[in-house]
Amino acid sequence: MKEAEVKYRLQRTTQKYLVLRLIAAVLWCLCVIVTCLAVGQLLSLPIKISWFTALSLSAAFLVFQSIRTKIFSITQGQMMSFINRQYPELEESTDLLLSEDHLLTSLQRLQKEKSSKRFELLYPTLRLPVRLVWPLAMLAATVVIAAILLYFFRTRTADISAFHVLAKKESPVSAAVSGLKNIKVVTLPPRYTGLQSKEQEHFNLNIPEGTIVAWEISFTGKINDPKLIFNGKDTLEMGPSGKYQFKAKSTFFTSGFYQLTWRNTHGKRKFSDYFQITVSPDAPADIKVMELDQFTELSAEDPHTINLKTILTDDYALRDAYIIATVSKGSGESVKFREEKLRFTQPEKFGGKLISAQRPLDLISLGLEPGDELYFYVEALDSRLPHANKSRTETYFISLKDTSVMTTSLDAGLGVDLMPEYFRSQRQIIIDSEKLLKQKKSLVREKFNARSNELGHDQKVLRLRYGEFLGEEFESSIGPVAGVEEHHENEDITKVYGHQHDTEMEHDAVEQPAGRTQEKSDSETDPSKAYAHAHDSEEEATFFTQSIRSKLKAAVTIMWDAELHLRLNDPQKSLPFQYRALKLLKEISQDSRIYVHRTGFDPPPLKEEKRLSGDLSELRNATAKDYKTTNERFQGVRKALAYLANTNLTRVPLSPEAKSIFIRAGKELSSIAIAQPGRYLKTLSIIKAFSEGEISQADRLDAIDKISAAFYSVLPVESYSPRAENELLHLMDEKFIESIDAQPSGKRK
Amino acid sequence: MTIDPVFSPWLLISLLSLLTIFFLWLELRRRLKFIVWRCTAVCLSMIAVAAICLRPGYSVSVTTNILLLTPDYNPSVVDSLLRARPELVTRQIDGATSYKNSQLLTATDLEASKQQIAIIAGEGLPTYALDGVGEFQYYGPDSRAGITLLNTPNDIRVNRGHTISGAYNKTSGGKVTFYLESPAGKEDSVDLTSMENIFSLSFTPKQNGKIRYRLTVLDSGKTYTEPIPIYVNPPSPLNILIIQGYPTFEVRYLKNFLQRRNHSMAIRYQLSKQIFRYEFVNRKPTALGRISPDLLSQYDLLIVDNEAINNLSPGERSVIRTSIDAGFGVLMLLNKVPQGGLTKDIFPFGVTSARRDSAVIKIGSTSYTFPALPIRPRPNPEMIEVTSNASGTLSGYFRARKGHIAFQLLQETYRLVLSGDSLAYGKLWSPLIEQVAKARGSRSAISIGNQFPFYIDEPVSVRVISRDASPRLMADSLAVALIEDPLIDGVWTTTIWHRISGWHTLATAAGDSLNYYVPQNTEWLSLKKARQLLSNRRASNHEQDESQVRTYAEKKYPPIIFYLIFVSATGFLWLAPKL
Repeated sequence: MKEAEVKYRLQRTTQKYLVLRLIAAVLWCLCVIVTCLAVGQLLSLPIKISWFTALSLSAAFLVFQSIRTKIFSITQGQMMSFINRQYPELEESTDLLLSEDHLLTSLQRLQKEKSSKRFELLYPTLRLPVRLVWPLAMLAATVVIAAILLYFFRTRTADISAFHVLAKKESPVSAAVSGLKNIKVVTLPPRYTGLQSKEQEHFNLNIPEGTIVAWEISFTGKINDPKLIFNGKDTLEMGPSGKYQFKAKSTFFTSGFYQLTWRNTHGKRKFSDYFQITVSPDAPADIKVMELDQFTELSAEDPHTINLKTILTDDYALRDAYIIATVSKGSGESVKFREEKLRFTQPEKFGGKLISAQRPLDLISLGLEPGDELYFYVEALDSRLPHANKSRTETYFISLKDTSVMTTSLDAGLGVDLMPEYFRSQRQIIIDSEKLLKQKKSLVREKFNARSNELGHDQKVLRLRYGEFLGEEFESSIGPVAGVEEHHENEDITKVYGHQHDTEMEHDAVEQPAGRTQEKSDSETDPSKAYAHAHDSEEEATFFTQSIRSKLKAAVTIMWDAELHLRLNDPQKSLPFQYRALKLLKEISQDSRIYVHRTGFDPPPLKEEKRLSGDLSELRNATAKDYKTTNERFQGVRKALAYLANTNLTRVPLSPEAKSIFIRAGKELSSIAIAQPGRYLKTLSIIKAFSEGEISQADRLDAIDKISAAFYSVLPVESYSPRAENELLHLMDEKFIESIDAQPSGKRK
Repeated sequence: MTIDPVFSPWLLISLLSLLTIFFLWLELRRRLKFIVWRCTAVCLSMIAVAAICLRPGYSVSVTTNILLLTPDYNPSVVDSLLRARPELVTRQIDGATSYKNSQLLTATDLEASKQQIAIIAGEGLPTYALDGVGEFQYYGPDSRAGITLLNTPNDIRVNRGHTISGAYNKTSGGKVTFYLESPAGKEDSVDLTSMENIFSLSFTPKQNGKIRYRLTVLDSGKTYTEPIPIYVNPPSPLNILIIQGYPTFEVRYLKNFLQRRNHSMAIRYQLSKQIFRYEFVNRKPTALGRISPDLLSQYDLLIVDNEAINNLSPGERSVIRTSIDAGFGVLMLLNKVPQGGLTKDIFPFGVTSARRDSAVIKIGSTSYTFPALPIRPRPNPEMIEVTSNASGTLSGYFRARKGHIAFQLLQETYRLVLSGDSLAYGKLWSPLIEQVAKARGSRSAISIGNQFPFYIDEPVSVRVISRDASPRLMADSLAVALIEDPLIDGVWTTTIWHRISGWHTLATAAGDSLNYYVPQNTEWLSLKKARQLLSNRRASNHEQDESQVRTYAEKKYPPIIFYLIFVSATGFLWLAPKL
């Protein structure tokens, strides 16, 4: 072998050693990286942090390894020393191979030649002190262990975290439900709203009334039987739409909440958190009448044309608007009405959100004469489908003054004219109600309902007028509140119109401290109130004597019921109340004239066969039994509260019994959450996670506090009930009482 | 002189006497000089051995007055005290900062040295540790900010308004705000201005059982919260008998109100002279024909109107009166002005006529007007008002031996229910009914002697009054031994210690129980210190008492003396032959 070739081979060997060392170091670094990433995943650390840690540690390891193994400081001399040590047959003469011949002695040259030949033979079998097997095996083992750990732990974490988090407003899919790959929620508002469909990637919904919502949910793995549960009771099955992909569709008219549920591959049912559904109802149009007082009296000199200007607004679009005008002629019981529907002159067609509409009202052409009255209101329909929202203004009154008539009061004692003429009398409402009942078969249901509702309105006006005389000021407006005419089917109309007090939630709504502040402010503003003996109440400050007042009050109360049934589109039921109200009004009007109305007792005719027979067999004592144990409201919530107070749950896991208690309480809470989803949804999620034992021990105390707060806040304040006292009288107490009783009363002092 | 022998002195003396005689005989046998001195040396050595074994001592009179340093003591006060009374020995308990020459007293040492404590400086000893301490002077710490007094109602009932009051020690003159929070949030709040230090907060529990309220104090920008444990007693329905001359709306609505609260009732209306109508609510029908002691014993309260009471026979009235004396309650609904006077045995009030037939009363913050019978009872010191206004008492009662007789002059109160205000209706009727109704006799009553707060590992004294001959007390399901009071029958006491904080229950075998709360060691510290300070102040002697407590201490003669005598004597005996 030539000398140059030997040198080349030695250099090559050194380079090879370097490369192998580097490969080994890199393989060890890869082991470090894989370990770091796996640990990061297991601890759910952000991926950036995992990578940063992995790269930092591997770089540090690389530097350490290169220093330890002196990779970058290996020389050919060191390599030759290694070869000399490893191969004794070279007789420690490898360094001679690199020496120039002229620098060597003859013996050294001889040895060089000998060594050169041996090196040539040894070169193919030369083994360097680097073993890649270990780092490779370590890397493989690390990868396998990391894969196994990630597979099992990530599956479990996915199951657990399905219960967590979520209710945030804009929670991304990954945070919402682990195990979900992708979610697409498409909301399609009703066409009449003119709103575009939207696509979102979170579960919380904020949509207009009547919106169709379509979900398309992709899972990361196989799941079964996915469903959406609305308000804790209605279930919507999701159909498959691809591999691990499911879809469902629903239309929403009311607010509430929902959750996603599915079965995992082991058959265990999993539930997501609760998500909010906020439905914005389509508000009825808002109508403002400009530059016109509600009560206008015109004299003969005033212009008899009034320009009616209105501004109509709606949240989506207006469809129509018109004026309902009624001309009232005559007076007292002979009053006559004529009703007309007037169109606005401008604009002729309605559309858009904001419209300024107007029409001149020519009183002469409407047939008004001095002494007559015109009362009208504006009614507007919005674009809502299938049933438009109808709203109307309060009734406006225009009267033409008749100076030729003088109002005289025959009854000086009464002092006021009880019968204002610009509203229908009770008798007229009765006549109209009966007429409506007769026409019921010929009228379509909507028309019938509308007329019944109008009669209800008239009844309300009448009631308010009479109520004014009683000093009732709690309802200031005669006209209806916009949008109250139509109610959703699910709404309890009796609650809206009924005369209700003392419902539990009313009391609940009033916060005690506020009440206390009020109490304080009352006494602060007028400290004498606490000590004064108030005699004159507002109820008694009327024009009437006690008997008339009570009758009038009774009449007004009956009118409430008459109006209620008219509003409920049931004039038949309303009629008896109307008759009773009329009877009372008649009595009131006649009260001051009748000084004595002597009535005799008309006994029922006697049965001659029983007379003086002494037969008392049919007369018996009567006994009634009544077992009505009233259960407290929110029994589940009360039970759960008691359980929370009695048991130290910060450490002890929930027993199956306790779980069922919390599930029942959660159901009761969810019934309230439907009405106030924003308030209790988060708590419902916590209860769910708590009862499933998914809350960590560190967070338990906080969770218990939140659950207790929600439970306690839903409990109503009820009236205080008497309670049997427990008393233990010691023998000495008894003797003491006896000795006191034994003393003569004079001595006791 | 006293001795403290290592073993039996007689045995020792006998043995030593024999040895002395033996050694003397030996010495006398030896024909050597110094015979007298040697015999003396033998005796001395034996006496020395006897003294070593008998350990003789003597008693001396010593002064042992202790100045006890407790946490938060003022060092300058201690300096002054020691200058004035240099004979005082300073000792300190755990938690007090160290003072020169002061030694730590352990709990055992403290118990042994209680009689020697002359002065206590600092926050003092815990109340339970003051027992056995003799007369001492107390020098407390400077006042600290915090709640120093807390009064919570004993008998808390669901849906009834209650008040928590207390005192707050302010260090700065600023405004202090208190919030009372139920589990659901703030229930009441109050501001203390610079001149006030008493606060009062109201609450209405909505649930019976254990509830943790929180009292938050906001003082000079700092906030701290303390738990207020409340135990709300569960409802306990009444058995009520109603007898009416004729049906009225008033009783009908009262019956409905009570029925909704699960009270059981039996009602008898008289429809005609011989015909009655009976109603039984939440109970089985029983015969209501004649009022008898057996019949009344089934009920806690009789509600009766004047028509019905006048129709009762004298015998029935007598039965009612006897039952009242035995603890029964009668509520009379006066629905018309009684003609010819009222039945004196059942309605002993004198009445005067009133000018108005209506009355304005205040329920809560609202005024209501009701028709009222135009009579008012004459002022009577034995009468307790329940509802009243400027015109007089409208409803009230008085005690008749163990029972109560009550009356109601207000009419048509059902209008409150009709108007939907059942809360006011409950407030009007419930106090009257529950104060008049017969108290249920319980067989035992449990009370705790310690004031709130008491903590883990503190002795809690429990008192049980029982009618049973040998009552059993369970503390959180563990039986506790009771000691009967040597002077009063039926009064038992015990002491218990708690190992964990939170709610605890004491219950007797008779079914009576007491729920109470042991706070954590970090809770209610200011109140604890204030109460401890007060109890130390109360227990201390305010007069300057410098008399020294002299005690006799046993002192032993040093055994080294006897040892040296022994060595010298025996040394002489060894040396004497050589001289």
